[in-house]
Amino acid sequence: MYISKFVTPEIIFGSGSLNQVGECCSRLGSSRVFLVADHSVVSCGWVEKAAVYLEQANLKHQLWSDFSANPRDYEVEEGAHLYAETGCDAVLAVGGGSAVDAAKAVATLSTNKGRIHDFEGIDMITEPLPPLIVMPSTAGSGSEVSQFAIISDSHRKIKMTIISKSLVPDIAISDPFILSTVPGKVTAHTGMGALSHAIEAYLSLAATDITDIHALHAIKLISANLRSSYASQVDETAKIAMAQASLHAGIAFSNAVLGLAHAMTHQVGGLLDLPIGMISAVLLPYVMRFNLIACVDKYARIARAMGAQTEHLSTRESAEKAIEMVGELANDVGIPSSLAVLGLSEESIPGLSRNAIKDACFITNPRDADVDDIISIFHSALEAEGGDR
Amino acid sequence: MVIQSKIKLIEKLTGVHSSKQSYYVALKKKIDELLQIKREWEVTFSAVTDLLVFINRDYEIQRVNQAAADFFTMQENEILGSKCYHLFYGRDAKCNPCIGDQVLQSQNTSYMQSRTRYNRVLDIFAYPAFTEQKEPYGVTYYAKDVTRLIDSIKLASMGEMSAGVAHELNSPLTAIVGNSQLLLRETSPDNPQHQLIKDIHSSGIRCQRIIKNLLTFSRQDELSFEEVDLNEVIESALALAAYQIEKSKIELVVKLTPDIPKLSGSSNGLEQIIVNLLLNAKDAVEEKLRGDRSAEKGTITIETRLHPDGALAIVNITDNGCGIEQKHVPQIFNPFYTTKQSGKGTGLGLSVSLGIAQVHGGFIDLETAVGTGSTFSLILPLPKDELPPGEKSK
Repeated sequence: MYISKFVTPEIIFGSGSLNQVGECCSRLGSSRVFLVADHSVVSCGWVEKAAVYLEQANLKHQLWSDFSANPRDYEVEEGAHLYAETGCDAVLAVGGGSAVDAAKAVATLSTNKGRIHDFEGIDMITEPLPPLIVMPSTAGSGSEVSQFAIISDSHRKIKMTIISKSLVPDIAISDPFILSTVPGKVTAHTGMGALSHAIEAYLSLAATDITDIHALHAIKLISANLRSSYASQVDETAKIAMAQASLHAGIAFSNAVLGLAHAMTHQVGGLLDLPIGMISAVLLPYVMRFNLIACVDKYARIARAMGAQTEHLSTRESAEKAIEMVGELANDVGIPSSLAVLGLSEESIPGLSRNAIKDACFITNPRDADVDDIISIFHSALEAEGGDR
Repeated sequence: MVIQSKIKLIEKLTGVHSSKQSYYVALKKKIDELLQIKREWEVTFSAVTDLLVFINRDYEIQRVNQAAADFFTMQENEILGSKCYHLFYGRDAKCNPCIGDQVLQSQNTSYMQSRTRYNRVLDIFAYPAFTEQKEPYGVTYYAKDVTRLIDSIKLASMGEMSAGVAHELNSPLTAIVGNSQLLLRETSPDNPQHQLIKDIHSSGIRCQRIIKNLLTFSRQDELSFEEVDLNEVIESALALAAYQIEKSKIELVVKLTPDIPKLSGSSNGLEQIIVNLLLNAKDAVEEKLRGDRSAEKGTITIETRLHPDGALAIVNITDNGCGIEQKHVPQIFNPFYTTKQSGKGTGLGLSVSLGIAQVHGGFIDLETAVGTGSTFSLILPLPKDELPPGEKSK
């Protein structure tokens, strides 16, 4: 048995909790807030609303939106430059996972000397970050509660994973109301992303009782609500459940870390500029099949959390059921069943596999694997026909 | 082994041994850095021999350096929080005009010269201090004590003037002294007018002495230099002053060190210094006896010494007289400053003496304690490449 640790930020949850942003920033001692928001959040008018609450708290702010859907090294370095130039003293992110990652990178660079590449890996951050307040606009990334940030290395064409307790935001504000402006496609990607977080965290070697509770609850909420949330932008009950699920999945994976599916996802994401949630959703069933023999009991429990009737099934049958149900859910919300559909070519697989084995997420995968194992998983995911997972 | 290393890896990944970087730690580090900077500045400021005073917008003193505290003979904690106009001028209300206000309004550096407490003249430079928002929030005063400089400028012009005036006064004084002398001879001491004439005569003599001093003072740089034997100078000074000292029943002890190398100087000027110091010593002893009849017998010691490294000749004149209060010490070399009874001193003796000593490249040092006595030391440099006396004749 090893020693474990559990970390979460302050969490504010509730429809309309957007109005807390000003108070939160002010409470953490800020006078000029660096407001990181992606373009879709700006165009939906949420930033304008947030700005009003900041003004009410007598705070000035500097808006920054110049980053890609997968934030790049040079973009966050420019952001950090703007942060320093405008004399900001806190970072507020309003947006999807990319905005949160970009905000974390800017916060890191604002107090730590060096390039963002210097902080790749585990515990490379040495100086405390300015106050970091995160308000997710999608239900899935979980980065509002996590100790991770993922930034693209534009030169090496890979995704750098930065892992540090200092990246855990000070305050996470989750307002399900914001989810009403998220398009269905994004709801599907982020929701499936949250499910893969929850499942890999649950199966992780670093999972603990505390993380298991969060992971299983997230799995239950997502399998019960993702379809309806994807189906309708105005289903408030589903949005609240998905916002909760995102938090639970985030808390689970931030503390238990992930597994092989994400180790592989990060490599594909570095190559193809696609939503991470979608890639991991495609890969998840194939990796689950590979990992199955390592933790059959846990798979059976996943099946039950997803609502499967398992009284008449053996444990093994229930475990198989879990993989099947994940595939069904992905299918229902329009996730492609094969990597080929995403445009991945066969030649890139050996390289991706060699890098995947070096990814930090691989450490906690429940089943040992070598490069050949990963290559064959990639192949099965690449060659799959619809439904054949 | 595999299990152990895997566990270690997982513990690292989940951050068991790391925490969110603490602001407290960073803050503490920053505070330590700032304290170090503060200490460095404090050392710098205390090394500055001019006055540094920082006030806030309410004219309250927030910071002073050691030189400022010393100047006002106060402790730093007595000064902090008091008003600048009180510290500098002993006033209870703001000055009008106020240089601090000018600086805060114009946000520019300002300068003035003013006579402050203890009758000192300060050159005061005032600099505005700004907050990060560029708001002026206080004023730094940098002040230099220029009293001596000012006085010497004044004296230089006064010297020229006094030379002229003295000249003009000399002829009428000669008439007054000479004629009163004649009248004295012709008037019997029983005559009631005898005392009146005597007063006229002695006052005239006194005026002549003052004028002689003034003339010496204004002609300091006109002393003619020659090879001087310091002991010989002292002998001739004693010839002038010994009578007056012994008349006052004061014991005179002379300890001359032989073989003091000859130095280049004005024997008249040096003699004047010695006479002056001897007569001051006599006055001090008399002053003490006046106050305390039972005091020990008055003694004045004059000695010559060579400084151990041979580069300086020292004449010490020590008395066991009344001593000088510490508050007067900084000023006794100032012209027209005297602690003697009015009518007794001109206030020129020591300043003239110091002037002559300085022309010789030397100075006058002083050790004194009230009630115990004083030692005045005339310190003169000897020629650097002076050969030992025995070698000289070769």
